[in-house]
Amino acid sequence: MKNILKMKKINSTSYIEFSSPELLFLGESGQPYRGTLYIQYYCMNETLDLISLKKYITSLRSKIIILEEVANIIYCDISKVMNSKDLCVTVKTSPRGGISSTIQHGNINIVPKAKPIFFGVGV
Amino acid sequence: MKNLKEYQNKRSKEVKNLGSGKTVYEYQYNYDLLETFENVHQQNDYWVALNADEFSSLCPKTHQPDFATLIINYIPNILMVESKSLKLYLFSYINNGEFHEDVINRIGKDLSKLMHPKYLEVIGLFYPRGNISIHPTFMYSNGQEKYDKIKEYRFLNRNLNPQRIG
Repeated sequence: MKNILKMKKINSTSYIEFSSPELLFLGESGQPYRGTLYIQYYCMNETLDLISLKKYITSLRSKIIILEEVANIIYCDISKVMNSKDLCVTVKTSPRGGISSTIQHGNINIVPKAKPIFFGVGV
Repeated sequence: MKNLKEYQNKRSKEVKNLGSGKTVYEYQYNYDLLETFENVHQQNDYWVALNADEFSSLCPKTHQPDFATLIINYIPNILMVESKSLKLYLFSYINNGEFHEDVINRIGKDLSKLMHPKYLEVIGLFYPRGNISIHPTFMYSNGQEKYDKIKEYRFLNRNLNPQRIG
């Protein structure tokens, strides 16, 4: 399948962290999984094109992905289009059957932040 | 309910999806996914709040995903919505394109048609798009004076103290 992700040339070697609370993909049973995606890396004059990242995240909505593989799959798709140092992909999903999970792939020294609570509901 | 066994029999006959062993997820809007069971405490008025943190639908024009936290508060009459069927019903919006306001009104109308509750409200807290988050509220009362009063009170007092979001 064609990779939707695109790379962009920049003049920088900064540390970059992207996060999106709007990750949604289908689990093995077909049940939608909701989670937060974190992408962290030191860029080497190349970074992800954000519009393509948005489209990529949206494209996962209709894909069936085994939960434990999700970080690995996203990691591979990113590293195919972009050179970076210490890339780390983290997926935190909301509980299923009482079990919530964090899946990390790459340089896992980086600890993700807690899921942002937008409107203070859920209590 | 006289004894536990009688109660268990009654409940297991009422709902099909729960504990059926095989769950089929539908990705196109389907009202028929909703199931009900009987309220056995009809002599009391009580609140039921159903909070759904993972609601997602599609923008009809751009096909970009929208996300929301849904809060459904209701006072049951005879029928109550079964929560697993509600989960499947809400997931069936995943490929359904409608504006935020339309989605909330449709869910509210579907649930009031299904249950005929005494009072029902559906609040949608959608994630921001282009800086703006939309929070529509649907309200329904069965027309009795007491519940009309609740509806009116909550309608007039909705969001009296606006607060910063985020």
